[in-house]
Amino acid sequence: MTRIRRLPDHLVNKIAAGEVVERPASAVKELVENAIDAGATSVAVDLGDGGAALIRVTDDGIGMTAEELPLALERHATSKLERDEDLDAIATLGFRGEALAAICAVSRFTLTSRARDAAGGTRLAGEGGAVTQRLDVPAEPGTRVEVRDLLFNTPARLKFLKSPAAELGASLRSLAQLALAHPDVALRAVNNGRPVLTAPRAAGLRERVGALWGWDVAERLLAVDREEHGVRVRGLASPPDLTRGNREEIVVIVNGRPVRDPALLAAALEAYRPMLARDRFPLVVLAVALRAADVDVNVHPTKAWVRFRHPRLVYEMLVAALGAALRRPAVVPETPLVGAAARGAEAAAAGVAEQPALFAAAPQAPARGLFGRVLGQVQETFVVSASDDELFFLDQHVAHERVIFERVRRELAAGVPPSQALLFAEPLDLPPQARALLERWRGPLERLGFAFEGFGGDAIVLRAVPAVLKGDEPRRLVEAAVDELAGPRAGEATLDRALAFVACRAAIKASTPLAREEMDRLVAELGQAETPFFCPHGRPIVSRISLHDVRRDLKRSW
Amino acid sequence: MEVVLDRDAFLRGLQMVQNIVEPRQTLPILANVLVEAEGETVRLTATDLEVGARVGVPARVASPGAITVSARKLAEIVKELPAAAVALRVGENATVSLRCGGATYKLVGLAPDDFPAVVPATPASWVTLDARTLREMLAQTKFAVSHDETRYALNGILFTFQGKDVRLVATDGHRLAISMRSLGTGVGGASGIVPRKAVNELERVLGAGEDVQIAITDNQFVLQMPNFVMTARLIEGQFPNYEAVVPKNHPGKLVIGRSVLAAALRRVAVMAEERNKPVKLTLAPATLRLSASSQELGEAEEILEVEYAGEELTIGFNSRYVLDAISAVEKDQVVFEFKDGLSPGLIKTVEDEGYCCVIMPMRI
Repeated sequence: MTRIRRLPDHLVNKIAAGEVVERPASAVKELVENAIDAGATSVAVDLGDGGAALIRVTDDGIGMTAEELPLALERHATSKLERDEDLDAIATLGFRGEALAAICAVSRFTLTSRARDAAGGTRLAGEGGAVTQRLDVPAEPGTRVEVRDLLFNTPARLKFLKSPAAELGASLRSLAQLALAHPDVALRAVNNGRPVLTAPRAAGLRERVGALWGWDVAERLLAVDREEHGVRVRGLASPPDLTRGNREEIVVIVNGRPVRDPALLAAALEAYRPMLARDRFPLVVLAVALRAADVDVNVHPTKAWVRFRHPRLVYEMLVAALGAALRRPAVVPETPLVGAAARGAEAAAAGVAEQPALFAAAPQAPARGLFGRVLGQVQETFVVSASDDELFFLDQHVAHERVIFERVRRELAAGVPPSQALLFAEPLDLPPQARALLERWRGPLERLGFAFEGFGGDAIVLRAVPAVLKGDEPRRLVEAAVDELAGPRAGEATLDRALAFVACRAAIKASTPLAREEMDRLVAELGQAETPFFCPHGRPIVSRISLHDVRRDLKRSW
Repeated sequence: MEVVLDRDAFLRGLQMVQNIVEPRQTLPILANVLVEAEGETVRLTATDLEVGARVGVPARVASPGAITVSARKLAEIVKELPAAAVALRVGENATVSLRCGGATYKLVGLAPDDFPAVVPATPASWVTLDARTLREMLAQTKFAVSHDETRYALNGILFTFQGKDVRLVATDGHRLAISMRSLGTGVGGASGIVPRKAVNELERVLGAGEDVQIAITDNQFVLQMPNFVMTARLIEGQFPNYEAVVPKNHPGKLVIGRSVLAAALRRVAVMAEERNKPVKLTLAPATLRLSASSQELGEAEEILEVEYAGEELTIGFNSRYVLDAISAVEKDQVVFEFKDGLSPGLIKTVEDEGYCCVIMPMRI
């Protein structure tokens, strides 16, 4: 007897299920994808215990005929591929023909389907992949797949399931991503009889985002749209002051398929990098559309990963599209003047009343940048400027921080930023923890112009500081750096963070009176900055008041 | 109190003390000047609690007394008055009436009781030197005083009396200026850091020729001139060990005309980045090449024929530091000494007249 045997089908299916059905969420994802592939306009998902006890997916798609239905249960049986070439240009979410078979192999299932033009429906029921019952039943057009006791026959996997709440969370994540990828499909999910996700058929992505993430969020998101080299990136992205503590709301969809691609995630973060505080993440939904032949989705059974023919191009496109959206002035929150924001109006009035002479003194405006012409300073902290239709309040510290940040970054790109050697080398008596931190950050700090000596020995000595920081006391500078840089996260752009620190220290502080020339220059330089609306730590730089609103408030209609 | 003063003398006196009054004060009375009449003099005193000054102005005192009035307003008034006799009289409720020719003013004063006393210390010995010398020494060091409020020990000039030498030292951590003069007589031993504000006031009040007396006590700097005394609270803090950073025996010596170097530096620095004005010096036997470049602006270069003996080297400096250092001397020839591109540069005068400035290089 040979020791090598061909595995029986039910075992093959169970093995395939191990890859495809990791947890209820993966079954939910596969079933909903099938529904969407079937042309459904509305999909209802019923869950029991987050999917562990019951998953019932009902769609109004094209359905299956009585002959097709048993085939659907066989592995590698699919309607989605016909020819070899189809595999090179997959337009559907599924294509492998193994998901349904795999799910049925590890559960107690009931399939009910009625093709659109058929008189009645067919129901198959069974467990562990074997059909035990076949009935002709009356049914609505479409398909309903009911899966109970998922993984009942793979006790090892079953043990790894988390609490119903955790499984529900995972299922909802998958559902939300699919919902974002297909705004035109109505999606409803119920868990143990309680609605947990309701996404009515939406006219566009913003409407869908509103249903999922809330309307106040959806309204603030910036539109992203860019097309080049056959790649189109569209979607919505949050302004940098609207963030979350985790990456869950960064969704990248490639040709209708939500993917979990580390490079694409990195691209989204890269675009935001100079603007976000550490540990903060943006909300992003981006749909990348490219020719089906340029992307290979057949990389992984769950199809969460994809491979691009030109990965660099896709990455750059994502960064560029997001970057362009973030640079637009609409990124900045406009101070609403009506109702609650009467304070803003007062501030504006005060700013104007304080400096009436300036209007007369400078009738011909100097070159107008993004922020118009400087009017003056309020509370020795805010520079006020005006364009033809808006009034800007710029926080002088963060504005200057942004200007310095970009200047030093340019200097870095061109070589070394100037560094000033110290006459009295500063011995740094640091606790071990701070020492270790400093040692780890030594590289980026020295690139910026710090010079340390004596690592490994008893005392670290500071020999030089970046020229922009020469006014600061060196010891306090290093102490502040240690405070600021403590607790870095792996893979973060260390140089940028060190740079943000340097810029912050070098920038003029609040409560500093500024001469008019200084303000003019600051505003002009900021207008030319790459990212003029947020400081490197993510704080907004400018608050705006529309003069249109002012006119309305003052009932000046002419 | 009732006095009559000469307008010109009154104005001169006011101008010697008025600047000590800060534009913004914590105590309202510090905005005022204390006017005291006694004997044949009116004494004017101003203080900001750190620096204080008192000047005596000859006057006819009809009745002695004291009052305080706004220093700024009093100076403004006296400045506008014609050259004539000014009569001051204190009336009810601390009001002061001032008359000069046909002009009359009524000023709201404050009772003198709350005015902080300015008490010059009584030092064991005084150092006497020429006002011009002291003024010159201040000019040779003042530019290096740090403006960083957090490094308070560097916010002034260190005065050191030792043997027969008077030495002034200032540093901001990137450059160091030392000015030293030997006096014919012993000066005792004392040292203290005189705050920047007092240094500025000193420069204002120091005349051209007369002798002045200065002293350092435990916590006070005192300057005496006829009819004038100024006190300043010394900065408490440790001045860095400056002697250790003054390079000795640098091998490279560049001898150059002060005005030639200054003019070339200014020309080249036009193209340097605004904040630090970094300029690169490339030295080779008999030539000095100055260059500056900025990504946004462009670049500049100038080659000078110079007297230079030493290794070829390239070193970067904040050109303002170099300009400050060479502007502080009067002789035209300066010596600029180097070791290598990373070691401090040293600027002296050819005859070594008790001045030197150490400048740390910049990595450019």
